[in-house]
Amino acid sequence: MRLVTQEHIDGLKHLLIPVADDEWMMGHRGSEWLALAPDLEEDLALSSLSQDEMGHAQLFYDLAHGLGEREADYQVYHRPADRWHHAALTARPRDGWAEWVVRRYLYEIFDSVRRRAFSQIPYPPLLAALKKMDLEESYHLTHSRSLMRALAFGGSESRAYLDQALKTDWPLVPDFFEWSGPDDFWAGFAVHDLAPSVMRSNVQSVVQRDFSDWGIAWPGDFGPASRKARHHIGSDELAALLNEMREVRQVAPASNW
Amino acid sequence: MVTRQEVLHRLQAVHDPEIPDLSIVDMGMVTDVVVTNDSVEVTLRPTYIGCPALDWIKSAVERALEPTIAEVQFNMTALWSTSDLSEQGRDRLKRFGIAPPREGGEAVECPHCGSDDTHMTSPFGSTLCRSIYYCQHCQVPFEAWKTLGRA
Repeated sequence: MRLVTQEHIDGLKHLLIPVADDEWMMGHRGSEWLALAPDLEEDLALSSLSQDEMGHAQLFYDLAHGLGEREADYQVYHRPADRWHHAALTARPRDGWAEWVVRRYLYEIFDSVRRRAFSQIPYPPLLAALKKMDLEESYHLTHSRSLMRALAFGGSESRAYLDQALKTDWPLVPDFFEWSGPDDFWAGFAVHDLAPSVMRSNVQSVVQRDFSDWGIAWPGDFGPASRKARHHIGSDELAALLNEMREVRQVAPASNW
Repeated sequence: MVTRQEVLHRLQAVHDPEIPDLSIVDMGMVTDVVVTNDSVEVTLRPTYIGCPALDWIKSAVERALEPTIAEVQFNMTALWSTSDLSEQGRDRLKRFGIAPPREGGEAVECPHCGSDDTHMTSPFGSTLCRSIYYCQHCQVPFEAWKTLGRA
């Protein structure tokens, strides 16, 4: 596809930045669990998963940079809080372990549905990136499911943690499906699967099938997205996260990734 | 003027920082070497996108080719799979105590005793490119290179 119009170029940027931000936040919050995970294997897994996500984020920022956005270093270390466009669930402060397992699972399912939609955009640099990421992400999905199964079949105590975590995270899922650009900008790509309503129902059907396999009662269809989905103007939570994330860079401005 | 052959020979001395002995050539990371009048362009592909050793490897390549000026670039989206490891690379991994990957779900051989009686305990190991296994025969945990197939 030749990005002939400015609308196409802007549209791709509106698609790439939220994805990069989601991946970055999952990597950042995941890294906060290092040394706190319940066992050594999980600690190692988190280190790999978080490095993968941060690497993928960087690649998406690079793709956006190729289309005229500022470089990855700016996006991560200098961009003001009100210009971040991740879904709120990815950046929630650390909660319990079950909440992290549920968050990770819901995100991985959503992310795989979104990557499938993206792979229908005929922009070669994006397709090449997705192909390489898919190889790594297949491990993420398998791993997330195995942790969910462990919670679901771990007895009444772990089931109670799982139920509580679902109650916390479920209302935040619908924000995943929103984009941050102007209304319906994604329609310019003529990719049916990019529509928020389609992504929502695709995610819902995968999760529904998993839950039925694991004997988890369906918590109810996803509700509406929040009014300011993927916008975080005036969020103290995000300001605190960015401050902490940028602390080292502020002390040592010449340090690299 | 340095030859392409000589460049590849010198790159045999650039190792994975976490696996001494395993060169980036045997890992299949070197995808292109172009020799011009007074410089060399080396193109590398990462095994994993988020590999934290890339900057380190880049400067190691530049050092290994001195005094020739090397221009090193990473093609971040070039696919790499475990079948890109050379035979020599597989031997070196094994000698270091890391089981080389097996294709198609075949059992991984214990690098210590050679037994096939092993199972994976976690797909994620101490680095992005390793998984953790356990050998039933010698009852020792070990790491194996994580299998990454072609999409």
